[in-house]
This record gives sequence, C-alpha cells and structure tokens, in this order.
Amino acid sequence: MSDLEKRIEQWRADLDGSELLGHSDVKELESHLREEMQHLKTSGLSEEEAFLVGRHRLGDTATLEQEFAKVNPHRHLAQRLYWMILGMLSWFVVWPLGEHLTTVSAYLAYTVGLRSVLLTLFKLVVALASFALVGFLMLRYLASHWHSRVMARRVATPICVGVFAAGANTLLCWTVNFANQHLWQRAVPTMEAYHQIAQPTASIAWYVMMMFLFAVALAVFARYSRGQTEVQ
Amino acid sequence: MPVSKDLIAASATPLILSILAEGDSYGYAIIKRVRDLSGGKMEWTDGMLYPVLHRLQKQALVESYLDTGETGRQRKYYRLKKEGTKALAEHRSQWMLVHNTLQQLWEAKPCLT
Repeated sequence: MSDLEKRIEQWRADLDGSELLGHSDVKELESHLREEMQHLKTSGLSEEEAFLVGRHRLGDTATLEQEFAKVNPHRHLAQRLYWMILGMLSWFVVWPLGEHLTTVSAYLAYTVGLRSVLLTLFKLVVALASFALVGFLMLRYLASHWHSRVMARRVATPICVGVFAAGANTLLCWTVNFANQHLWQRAVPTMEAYHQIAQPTASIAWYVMMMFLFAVALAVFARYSRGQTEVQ
Repeated sequence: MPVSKDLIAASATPLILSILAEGDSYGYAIIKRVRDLSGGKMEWTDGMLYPVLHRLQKQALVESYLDTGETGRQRKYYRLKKEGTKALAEHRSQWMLVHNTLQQLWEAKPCLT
C-alpha cells in the first residue's frame, strides 16, 4: 500500500469511527475525495497536494458530523440500542440453549456409564465447547460490521452492556427463586400462607407500571425526534 | 465576493433539485456544476452536500442508485422523483418572488436633473 493510500485509509477510519456517519456515507465521501483528487491532479497538483486540498474541501470530521447529524440526529442512539438488544437477546437465547445442550449430553454420557467426577468434567467440556462455538459465530457476524478499531469499540460496548444486563437479570431472578424456596416457604407454617404472601399482585402492578413508563418514554422520544426533523 | 453561509445553505435544496432536473447526477458532479455556474463564487463545503441529498431522499424527493461511471468507479447517482419536480416548482416560485421584490427595490432611480 502506498503512503498516500495509507493516509486515505486513515482518513476513512477516522470517519468510520464517527457514530453519526454510516458506512455507506463514508464510502460516498471517499468516492468524492478520489474524484476530486483526480481532477486536481490533472490541473497540476501532486498526489499529496491533491489529497490535502480534497480533504480540506470535504470539511473536517467535526463539520461533517454536524451536517450529517441534521439528517439522522438519533442514528447513534438507534445503533447503540440495536447492539445492546442484540447482546441481551444473545444471552436470553444462548443461555437456556446451553443449559439444554449440557443436560442432554450429560444424560447421554450417563447412559454410557460416565459417573461423578468424570461426568462433571464432561459437562464442563460441553459447556466450554458450546460457549466457544457461540463466541466464534458471534465474532464472525460482528467482523462484517467492524471497519475500524473505533467502530469495534462502539459496537462492543453496547453488546457488553446488553449481555451484562441480561446476565444480571438472570442472576436476580435466580435470587428471587432462591429466596422463595429456601426463605419464605420455610418461614411460614403452611403452603397456603406462603401462597398468600407470594401472590403476584404486586409484580403485576409493577409490570403494568413499567409498560406504562416505557410507552411514555417511547412517545416522548418519537415526538422529540419528529420535532428535530421539522426544524431542519 | 463570496456568498454568505446562510444564503448558501438556503439555496442548496433548489440548486440540487434544479441540477437533478437536468438529469441524474452524483455528488461530485453536482458540486462541480455549482462551482462552474457560479464562476467559483459559490464555494460549498463539499461534505455539506451529502446530508442535504440524504435528507431529500428521506423526504422522497429524490432516489438513489449505484452505477459504475466512465472511470470504472462505483458511484451513487441521484434521480429526481415526481414529488421532487413538484417541490422544485414550489421553490422556484418562492425564489422568483424574492428576486422580483428585490429587483423592484433596486431598480435604477430616475435621474432628477
């Protein structure tokens, strides 16, 4: 790669790092830069000069971001949300699947005669292997979206947040179950008393309130983004 | 004398629509056409054009397609849609109104001597 190509590459990577510019936007800008450079070279400028003038005419990253933000003011939010939800979904789908896979393989191993330590080891191996497989598939999918190092950060962070939130949710659910089974059921004299305590009325109220809150947030967001578009 | 930023921004949409009314075009060619027509006096920041084009596309006034130009490089071409033609007519009548108003005010005053 020539020195100039490296500089163009660097310039593109800079723009790719911006959350307000899509990959196709950057491709369009690069095509513009190359065309401009070609034109400038025919009027006597060196390659280096043509690159500098072309880049200057396109505007610096901050200016470009400002202009592109007018069209898609919430693009970066939408993108982060997408990756975060993907992270959460991957946890919620992969985790139970992994559980099933481990149990089924453990059952099969048991039927062929594996016991105690060996069986536990086998389960561990299966769990690790399935984890590695999922990781590999996810990385392969992500690789098609990683155009630069900065890009990797802005994709990886929301995914991690999503996975972490989903994991925390699973852990919390587990503590609720644990407390129900080992604390509250034992603290009261009869199952009937326990059912009265554990009535889901409060939870239902919570769910309804959360949905209401979510709907309000969505409405505000929609109104705000519409307002932004009308301003332009 | 360079044209003010505000005026550049305000005239971007009618200029782009008018250029596309002549035929399909792509970013670099549109900027070059504006530069040539204005004798280099309307200097756009080149990067400004694309968000405007994308907004026009979002408003369904223009549509885009990929095509390979004579240089062999793939370009994104823009085409005026029916709605765009209507919008252009609207812009045109508004600009003509402003133009006529100013012209009446600026017409040479009759000489008193």
